[in-house]
Amino acid sequence: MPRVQYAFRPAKHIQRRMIVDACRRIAFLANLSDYEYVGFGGFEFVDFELSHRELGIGSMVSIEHNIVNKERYQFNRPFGQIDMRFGRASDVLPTLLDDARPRIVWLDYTSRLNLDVLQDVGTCIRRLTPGSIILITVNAHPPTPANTRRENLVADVTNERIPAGVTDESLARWGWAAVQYAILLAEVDWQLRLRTDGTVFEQLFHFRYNDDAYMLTWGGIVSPEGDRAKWRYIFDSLDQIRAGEDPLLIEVPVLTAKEVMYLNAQLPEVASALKEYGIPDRDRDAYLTLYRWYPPIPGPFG
Amino acid sequence: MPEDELRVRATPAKRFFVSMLVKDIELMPAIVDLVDNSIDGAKRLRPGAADDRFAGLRVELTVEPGRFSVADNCGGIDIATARQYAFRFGRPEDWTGPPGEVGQFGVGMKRALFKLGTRFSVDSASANSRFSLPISVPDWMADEDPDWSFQFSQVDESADVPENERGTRIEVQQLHPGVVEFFADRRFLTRLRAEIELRHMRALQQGLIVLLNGDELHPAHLVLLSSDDFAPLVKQGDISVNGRSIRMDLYAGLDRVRDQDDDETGDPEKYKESDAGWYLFCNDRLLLARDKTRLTGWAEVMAAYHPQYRQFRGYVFLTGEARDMPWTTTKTAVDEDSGVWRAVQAEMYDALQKVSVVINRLKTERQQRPPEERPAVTAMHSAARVPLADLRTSSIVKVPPPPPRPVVASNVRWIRYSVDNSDYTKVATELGVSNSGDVGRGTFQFYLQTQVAD
Repeated sequence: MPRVQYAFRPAKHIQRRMIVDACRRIAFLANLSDYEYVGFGGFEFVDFELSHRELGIGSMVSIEHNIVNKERYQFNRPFGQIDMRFGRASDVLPTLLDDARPRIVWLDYTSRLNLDVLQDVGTCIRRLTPGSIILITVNAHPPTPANTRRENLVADVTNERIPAGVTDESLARWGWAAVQYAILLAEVDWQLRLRTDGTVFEQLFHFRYNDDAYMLTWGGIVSPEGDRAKWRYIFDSLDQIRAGEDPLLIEVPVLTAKEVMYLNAQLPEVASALKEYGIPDRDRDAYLTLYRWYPPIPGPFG
Repeated sequence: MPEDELRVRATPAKRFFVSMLVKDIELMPAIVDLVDNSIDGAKRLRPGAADDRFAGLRVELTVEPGRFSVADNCGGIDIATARQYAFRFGRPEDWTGPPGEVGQFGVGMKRALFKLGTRFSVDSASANSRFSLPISVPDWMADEDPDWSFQFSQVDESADVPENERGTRIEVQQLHPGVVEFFADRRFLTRLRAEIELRHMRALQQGLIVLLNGDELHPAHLVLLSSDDFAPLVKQGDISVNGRSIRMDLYAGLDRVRDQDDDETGDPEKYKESDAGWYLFCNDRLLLARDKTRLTGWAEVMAAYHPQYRQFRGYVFLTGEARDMPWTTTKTAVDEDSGVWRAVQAEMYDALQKVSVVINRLKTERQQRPPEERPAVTAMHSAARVPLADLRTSSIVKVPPPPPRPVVASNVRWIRYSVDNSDYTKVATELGVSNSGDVGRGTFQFYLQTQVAD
């Protein structure tokens, strides 16, 4: 699948801004400049741009499994500080995490949740330095035909990881994402047993979005038991935080610049009077939940 | 309600120990358990960690259809230990052995003896005591006194025993019929020999002489491939869990194996019995051998074991107090609830992942590069088999960096076919190459260069 420019994936972009926005709060308890950002930069490095510009993170590692054109990836780095590591994440992570420091690790896969992904999640949960954030994005689109859904899930993650009651029917629509979420949680519990430093995991993120396929993003912070309550206090007041199985569904309304400016001017009360301009209620409500992360309308100098 | 009516009997029955407990252990581990006792004696006698600490100490095993005995000169059991611990069922709370011992539960020797036969004797001489304890299981079962006991036939509590006479001799006279069958089986004896050579490798390396029916046993020697640019992961340090601490020495890397450059190993059965896998020693007693299961990370943090990984060797040595060790009473399995085990497991997972990256590199190089452009393969070939003790600490598996020219993976076609073995050998000899991949590439190149127009 050719990589699509991120600008054409509005929900993903809004999600990215929500996450970076939340990560700012790390600074309440830790020094963000000690952190390292680890991601899959691709050619675009959009999340690296944000991490560096918005969070001030200076140390950055991009894992790139495509080793055919290394020069081109090197060339496209927006900042010289980005350290390219070529190889699969499961080859790179074990050694990368030997260097103990807090990190924000975003494993932004285009594949569905499978054993390779779970292996990487396990490595992170076992080995991330307390205070680190881990995020996983996986494709959550139920495969077709419908009567092979469960069979496909078994092939992805093996039968023993699948919770009771999962059927071809229950895997329809967002059902696939719900099961992937449950499998991720179980994996975290299992891997945490192997940590003997008393580290816990606190979920912060649970997003669903659909730009061109159903996607699931899930993540949280690995924290010393003693800091658990502090982190919760710091993050829980944010609108985009989801600590449980109810996700934040990012639905991006398609609006014109004029409609956006009009809606912004009505805030915080967006009256039903809007109807007279033909903006559907659904789009209006969707806009209300995420307007703060909606790309700003360019001004005269923008 | 009177007290008596509320009371439920929970008194153990002798039959439980004689008939049931023995079902939890196989015959071979039971014998290895008895050797454990001798080695624990040797450790008490020579507490140092020197390479020849057990020089002069010996354990003689006689395993014959009519007779079983194990005799050692490892210091003997003193009379107090015999009275308070050695023959009691279960170890009293306040009885603490020296660190580094294997015996912990107070069950091994009795269970092993019940497993073997119905009439046995234990004779032991320590520095200042001697005793003889003959036991007839049917007579002991018939004794209905709720206060269980055995009777010494001879006791001397004020002996002055010369050093060369101190030791223990255990003899079983009336073997169970099933046991006799095993002891008459040559293959059983061969397996027992291999089992003790493996399980008690450390003690044998440190100079303990073990004789099985008069033949001396030889320890396996543990090595990993190592050189300046190709080296295993070596991690040493303490593991602390819930305020308890044990020492861990972990070594993970590759060993040389037959046909190591042959990647045409599609049949997983072919190398199933290979020595590849994890070895876990607790106080020098081997608990897991050649483990390729999920317990040690296979199919858990990486792919399931596959012949491709047959060069993998991982060795973990845990040293500390017996009660902190993650073993079960039979010492053939891991106590998965143990906090120490989980901490060790995490270390093994990490090491396994790092070594598998290198093994995958070797395979990729062999499949995608000509022989002169395989730095990792070349380094692996020229590395020496180095004893574990001579390896240097390293948190990574050392391997030369990949060659610079990128591989255009998308522009590659795979060819796979089989040929007659003798034809293959002739062509390989003619080409001067040693693996099937190179034979295939060589013959293809020949055709391409001589038969195909540009």
